[in-house]
Amino acid sequence: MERSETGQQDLDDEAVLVERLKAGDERAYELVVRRETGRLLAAARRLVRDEATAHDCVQEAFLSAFRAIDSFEPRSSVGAWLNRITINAALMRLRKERRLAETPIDDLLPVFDADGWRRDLVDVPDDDPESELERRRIREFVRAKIDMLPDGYRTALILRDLEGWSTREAAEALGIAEGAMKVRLHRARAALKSLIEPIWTGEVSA
Amino acid sequence: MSHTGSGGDGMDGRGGLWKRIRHWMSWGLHGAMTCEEFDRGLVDYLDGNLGPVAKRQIELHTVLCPHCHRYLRAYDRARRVAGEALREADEEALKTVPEDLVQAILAARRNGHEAAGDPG
Ligand SMILES: [Zn+2]
Repeated sequence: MERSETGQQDLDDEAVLVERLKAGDERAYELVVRRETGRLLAAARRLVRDEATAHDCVQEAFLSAFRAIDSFEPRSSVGAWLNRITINAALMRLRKERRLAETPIDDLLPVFDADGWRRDLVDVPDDDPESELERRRIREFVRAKIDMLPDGYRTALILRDLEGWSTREAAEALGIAEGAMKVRLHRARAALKSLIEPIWTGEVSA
Repeated sequence: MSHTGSGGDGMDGRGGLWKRIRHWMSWGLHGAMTCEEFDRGLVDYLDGNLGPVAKRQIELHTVLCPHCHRYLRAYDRARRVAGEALREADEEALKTVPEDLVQAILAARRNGHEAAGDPG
């Protein structure tokens, strides 16, 4: 192999890839862009809910990531690193547009009586439906319900229950205290539970 | 769903027994928690962040209170199915990556390089 040429196989090796990126190798850059754009775009879309803004977030993320490539530490993969930068770019947008404020969703939250006892008794089937088609329909229904959550709650749910961020990481990214983050996550989950309950109780068919 | 106020305990058809259990939980059982306290502890409980005493209280409440027992199952199911639903959407999105975005990102980098020049 030629000295300056890096082969495709070498770039499959994450360490080599990072080395080439740090050296400013155009081919390595293009490879990462092609490999990661789809995933990053999906992550950005989920948060900002607008195609053009999601594109901007991904582009911004790539540019700021590769400006900072020298500080990349191989504790995580390049993909995970880019994912985090993209999500932060998307959250910045949401914060700038003041879309993360907590809006009231009281009618979706659990009800307690004056003594602190729960009023509602939910019915959940023991198992997921057996048919894959039906499970797919449920997931579709659930996505529609997630979309109905106000941005501040949807974001909390995504960061914690999908991206797997810790309370502290999510709180920092959202610019709120950890305690507030927990409350927001709890409300988001409780609200989503209320929204998807009809499909469990058979009020809505999957 | 409507809450009829009086006789709320009877809505699960086991009002009498349930009332007695609640009474027992409030007064007879040292350290028992209400449903509302249970609710406030859920995030930490599911994260495994509770100390042994608080964890035991949550678990005891789950055993004694049918409302919270079912609530926890629904809550847990909701967060699991949310993750599955969103991941499925990702898989769909991966099938069609917009080439114009890829090109824009590559072009932005080339332009950035030209604009930045050589600092040395
Ligand atoms: Zn309870």
